[in-house]
This record gives sequence, structure tokens and C-alpha cells, in this order.
Amino acid sequence: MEITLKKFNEKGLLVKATGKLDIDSSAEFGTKIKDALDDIDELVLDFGGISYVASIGLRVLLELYQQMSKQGSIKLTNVQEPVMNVLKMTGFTKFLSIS
Amino acid sequence: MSFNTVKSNIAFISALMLILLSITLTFFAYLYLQNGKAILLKGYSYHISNFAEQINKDIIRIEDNAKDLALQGEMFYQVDKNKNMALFTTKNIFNNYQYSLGGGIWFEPNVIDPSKRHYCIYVYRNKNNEVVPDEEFETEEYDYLNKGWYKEILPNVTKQNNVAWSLPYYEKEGSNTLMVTAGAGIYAPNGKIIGISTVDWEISSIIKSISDMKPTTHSFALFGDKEHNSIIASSDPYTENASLLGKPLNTLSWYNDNLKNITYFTYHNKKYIPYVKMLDNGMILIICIPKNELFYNLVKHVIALFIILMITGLILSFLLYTGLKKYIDKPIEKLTNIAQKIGRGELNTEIKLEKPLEFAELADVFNKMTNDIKSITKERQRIESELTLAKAIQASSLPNVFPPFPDKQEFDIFAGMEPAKEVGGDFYDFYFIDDEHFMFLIADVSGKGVPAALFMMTTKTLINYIAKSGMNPKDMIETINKKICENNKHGFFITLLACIVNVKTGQAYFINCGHNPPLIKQNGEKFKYVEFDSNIVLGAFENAEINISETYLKSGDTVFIYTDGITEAANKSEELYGEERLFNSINSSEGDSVRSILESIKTNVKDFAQGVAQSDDMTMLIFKFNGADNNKEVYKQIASKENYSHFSDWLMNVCKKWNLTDELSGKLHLVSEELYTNVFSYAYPDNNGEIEISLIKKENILTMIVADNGIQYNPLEKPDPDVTLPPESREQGGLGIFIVKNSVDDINYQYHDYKNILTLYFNI
Repeated sequence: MEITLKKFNEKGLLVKATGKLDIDSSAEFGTKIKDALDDIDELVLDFGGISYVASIGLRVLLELYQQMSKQGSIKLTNVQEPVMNVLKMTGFTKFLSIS
Repeated sequence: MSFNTVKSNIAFISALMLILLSITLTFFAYLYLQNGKAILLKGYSYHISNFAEQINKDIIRIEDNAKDLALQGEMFYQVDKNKNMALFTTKNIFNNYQYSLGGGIWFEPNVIDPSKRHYCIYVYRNKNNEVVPDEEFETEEYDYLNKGWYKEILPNVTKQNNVAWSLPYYEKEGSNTLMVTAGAGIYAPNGKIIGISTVDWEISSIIKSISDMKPTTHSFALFGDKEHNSIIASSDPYTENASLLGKPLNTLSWYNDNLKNITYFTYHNKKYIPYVKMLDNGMILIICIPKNELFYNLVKHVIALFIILMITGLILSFLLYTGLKKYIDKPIEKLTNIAQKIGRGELNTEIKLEKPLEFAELADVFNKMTNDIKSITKERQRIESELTLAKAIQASSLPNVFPPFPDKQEFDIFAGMEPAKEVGGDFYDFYFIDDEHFMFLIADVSGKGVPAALFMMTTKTLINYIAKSGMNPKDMIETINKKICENNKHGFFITLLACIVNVKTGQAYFINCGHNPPLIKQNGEKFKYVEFDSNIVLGAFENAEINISETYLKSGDTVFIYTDGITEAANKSEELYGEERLFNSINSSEGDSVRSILESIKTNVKDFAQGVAQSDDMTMLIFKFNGADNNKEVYKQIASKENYSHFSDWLMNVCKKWNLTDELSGKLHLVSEELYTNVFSYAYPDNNGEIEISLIKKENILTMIVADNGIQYNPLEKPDPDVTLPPESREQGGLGIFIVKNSVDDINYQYHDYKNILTLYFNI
């Protein structure tokens, strides 16, 4: 999995990832982002390259949401259809801001 | 009646005894009768002779009396002519002769007293038995000189024979009784006859006693004077006897002078036996006794005796018959009945027979025999039930769950064995000898019964063991043969037909060791008998070289193998089913499943046999090759976090290979990942275990089967998480299986053979 982190507007963080949020990569994906979240109040996850999210990935997303709801906001962009299906199915679309 | 039975022999013996008894009895009765007759005849003869002797004695006395009187007359004439003295003497003489009625001395005219023409001295016995004189006869009125008796006696007396008898006559003057008179001559010293003495003898009493002397009811008598040929008295019942006095003897028609010499004469249709006695004075006495009356009592007696003895004999024979029957025939009948009962299987029948001892002994032997049969039967039933069990064990040792490999699409197989009544030596078997090579075989051990069955079990295990040892087919069969030879001390041999198929490529090896050729259908044509290189039967030569035939099976090709129990099934007319019928039967079932082909052959053979019992096992196996399976993929590995990417790659390749859409591919990835994670996270808590994931594509359905050997757990039973809750309130876990359930078109769980099996279906 390729993950690129890019700061914007001083306190914003844009994460771009390609691949799958599965057992292999979810943990790495979560750790990398969490490490860069200090003083960040706006987290944007670009899911354009994410082909699917497994439940383990959902758990990472939930963790990120819980942290960001304390220090700012979280937003998913470019969500692919299969991933969107899973998010809908699991009720994540109800609290995650997706554009 | 035939004399083959005891009963008839008993009857025969009894009848024989009766006949012998009758003959003996008849013989003795005859002897008894003859002897009795002789004694009887002698007795009568003696009796009659005695009677005649009595009369003779009287006659002699009377004659003596007459002679004494004549002497008295001579003395009277010569000495004193004292009449008183003479009367006195005469009375004395008569007192000495009790039977004389009366009599006296009669002189010729003028001999004693010239003046007296009649001179006599007469006495008689009066009613008081006193002898008294009677002087009335010296009268002219009486004139004894002209009396018949005087005239008859006087001329007939001589000096030599000095007594003569008168004819019988009735004394008119006196007692009017029938009498005869005996007389003797009185002579002067010069020899000149001067008178006669007479003694009267009353014969009425003699006739009466003769008439009374009836030895039997219808006997009769004749008393006559033979000298004067005249009848004195007769009791002949067929004549008027009163008028017969003085008539010639042959007035009676039965009389003749020769009677003395004949045994019997017939008179008025009756046989009479005459007894003839001549008396001293020329009189004759004849007693005639009817022959049948003479022996009547004797015969009656003999007949009565005979009847009594015959009845006794009959009773004895009957007793013998019933006795023999009771003591021989009845026990035999009883034993026969019981034996028949035992024959019908009623083994609890016991014979109770106490008499006679010989049969009681036989009955004991019978009872012992029944008990022996009972225990033998019990033992036989035990053996039979064990054999039935053995047969069941043998049958269950053959693979009998069909389809045996439900996940194998490369081939269909079906087989069956119909055992004959006895356990036999047929068997079939099939298994994978490695991942690609499937082996099926059919075999027939020579012989039948338990030894063949045991040998079959050993051989089956041996083949299985060696087949899976990784040898090439030729070495494999040669080794099997060698091993069989090593263990074969009882001369068994085995015919074998085996086929090893590479299910990926269709390459097939056929090995035929003395077995019936297989029927093979290839290239969509009919089944045909195919002769492969034939080898010697297994178990014959240790170093036999085995030839292998090689061929290729294409999709749809079918192999049918069988034992000779099929082709040698016989019907009532002892016809065999034969290869031609089998050929026709199998070819008439084209397009059917392997199972129904086999079933229809079985039905066909059974219809042919018409209920005739099988003499041999009937074993068949059919194998249909479907071609290499390109629509199934299986992944099998230890499930772990590290190995996941390996699986993930495999899955991606399958999806590419089968040209699955990205959507389906994504679903498969998502679903399999959730399940894979669950397996390595929860199924094996202590160590890592295997996961097996199969993908099967068939028409528009894609099936995924996920199996593990971990702890039993049905994830479908877990309640769904509440996805409407805000993130703060959500619990950990449960999302994965929730995602799975919502991604598939159908899903089910089963726990089978210690495996958790989840089957997921996706529409393509």
C-alpha cells in the first residue's frame, strides 16, 4: 500500500492511499496517520485509490473518526463504489462526512 | 395286503397260527371221533353179548331143569311109581330153578297105569312164588297128547341130543302168556321113549326186556327162532308187530341170513348197525341201532369240544394279534409319528414310552437324537448368523457411499455387489493413489465361503496399500502379485481388472489379469468389449511379468467392468445371461447416469434369472470420465496473517483466469478476507491450523466453500450489530460477518466430519 501524507493550511492533513484496507495494510495505514495527527484539525482521506475496505479497515476509520472528533473534522473524498457500498452497509455514512 | 409292514406280518402270523391250530384241532377231533366210535361199537357189542349170554344161561338152566325132571320121570317109572313122592321131588327140583314158570313129567298113554291114557305130574309157580301141584292136566278135556308143544318135542328128542324146544305159543288155559317149552325124553330101561319132561319158559318178560333194551331212541330188536324160521317178537317201528308171531324171519324186509357179516344196512333211508346173537337153543337175537344215533352223542360231544377249542384258538390268535400290535405295531406307529414331527422341525417333541423295554430304549435314543439335532441346529443357526454378519462386514468393507467424491467433477463412478447366498470372493474398490491418479478395480477370488472371503479382505487391503506407495503401474501390479504369492499357501488365485486414470489428462492404464474384458464406450460410440493385453491371474506365479495397456479417455468416455456372476447368471432353463445380453442391455441405456445404467443392468439380469437363486456374487462398476475439471479451484494452506497475501494472490489469479467482473472479484476478496481473518483469529486458539477455500464455477453460480478444522462455531448465529448507532456506542467486532452476510446471494453453515464448512453462493 502506498500512503502519501501532505499538510495543507498549516493544520490540515491530506492522505492519499492506493490499495486495499485489509489485514495486511490497515494497521500500517492507521499508525502512519495517527503519528501525523498532532495539531491537525482537518483530516481529508482521499480514497480514490482504495479498492476495498474490510472490517479491519473500518475499525481504523472508526478510530480516526473518534480522535478527530476531539480535535477537528474528518472527511472522505473520491470514495469508490465498492467501498461506498460497505460504508453504507455498515452505517458509516451516517457519521462520516463523505464528498 | 403286502407283507412289507410289521402290521401285516403280525396279522399274517396270527392268521397262520389260527390255521395251524385249526388243522391240528381238526386232526385231533377226527382221531378222537374215530377212537370214540370204535370204543362205542365195542361197548354196544359187549353189552348186547352180555345180554345174550344172560338169556343163554337161562336157556341152559331150563334145559338142565328139563333133564333133571326126565331123570326124575325115569326113576318114578322104574322104582315105585309113588306119585306123592314124585310130586315132592318135582317141587324140590323146581325150587332150584327160579326162572322156570312151571313144568312136569308127561307119560305116553297107558305107560304107568294101563287104565289111564293120561298120566302126568305137574307143578307151577303161583303168584306168591310158591311151587304148587296142578292135577287138572290128566283129563280127556285137556288131552296133552294132542298139544302142539308135546307133539313138537317128543319126536325131536333123541338119546344123544336129549332136549328139544317147542314153538312159542300162548298158554290159553292158564296165564295166557307167551311161552316156549323145553323138554327132555324119558326112557324105559329097554331104551324105548315112554314120555317127556317139560319146563315152561315165559318169554314175554324176555321180549319186554329186549324191547326195553333200546340203546338209542330209534333202535329196534328182533327175537326169533332160527331153527323153526319164525319170528317171536319184533319192535320194528315200520311194521305191525302183533301179527308177526310165528311168521318167517324174512317177512321183515331188512332181514337176511347174512346180517351177521355186514356192518350196516339201509332201511327207510336210515343206516342201521345190526348186532346179531345166536342163542344155544337155536333162537336169534338182533338189535338194530341207527348209525347216526349210535354216534350222535359222540359227534355232539366232539363238535362241542371242537367249537370250544376253536373259539379258544380264535381268542388266542386275537390276543396274539392285539398283543403284538400293542407291543410292536403301536410303538412303531408312535415312533414313526414322532419322527415325522421331528422331520417337520418340531424339535421340542419328546417321546414318552415306558413299555416294552426295547422300544423304550429306542425312544430314549430318539430323544437323545432330537436333543442332538436341537443343539446342532442351534450351533448351525449361530454359524449362519455369524456368516450373515461376515457377509455384512464384507459388504461394508467395499466403498458404498455414492457419489464418493462430491467435490470431484472429473468423473462419475458407481458400483455395486449382489452377494450370493454364501460369502464370496468378489470385490471392487477405488481411490486416489495420488492427487491426480484415480484407481478403480474389480476382482474375483477363486472359491467361495469364509476362506475366500478372508483371502479377499487381505488382498483388498494389500492392493490398497501397495497402490498408494507411488510405484508405476507395472511395478505396482507385479509387486501386488508377488505379495499375494508369498501369502498364498492354499492355492487361491485372483482375477483382477484395474484401471488407473489421470483425472487431469485422461491418460489411462488398464491391467487385466485373467478377468472378463471391460465394456468401454469411447468417442460417443456404443459400448464395446475391449481386449487388453491379458496377463496370468494373480497369485499363480511369483515372478509373472505384467503387461500394461495404455489409452486416453476423453470427456464422456465410460468404462464398465464386472465379474462373471453377471454373465453366468442362469435362468430356469439353465441358459446363461451371457455377454451378448449384457452388451445389448448396456447399450440400450444410453445417456443415463452411471447409477441408472448399473441399476438397469441389474434389473435386466434379475428379470432374466426368473427368481433362480444366484450361484455367484454379481459385481459391477461403472466409471464415466467427464474431462479435466477447469471450473474448480482449491486453496489449502495454514491460515495466518503472514500467509494471507499468498491466498489473496491466488484469489486474484482465479478471478483473472475466470474473467470475473471487478465487482464480483471485489466481493470475493472482501468476503474471503473476513472469513480468513476469523479462521486464524478464532478457529485455532492454541496453534495455527489449515484453511481450505474452494471456488466452483458452474453456469451462473459461483460457489465458495470455506472449511477449517478449528473449534466448532457457527458465525451465522451471531446477532447482527446495530449499524444505526453512533460510533461512540458501537461495540467491537461482528462487523466482518455482517459484511459477509450482506455481500453474498446465499450462505449456509454446516459442521461435518469435524469441519466448520461455510458455503457461499454468488450470482455471476
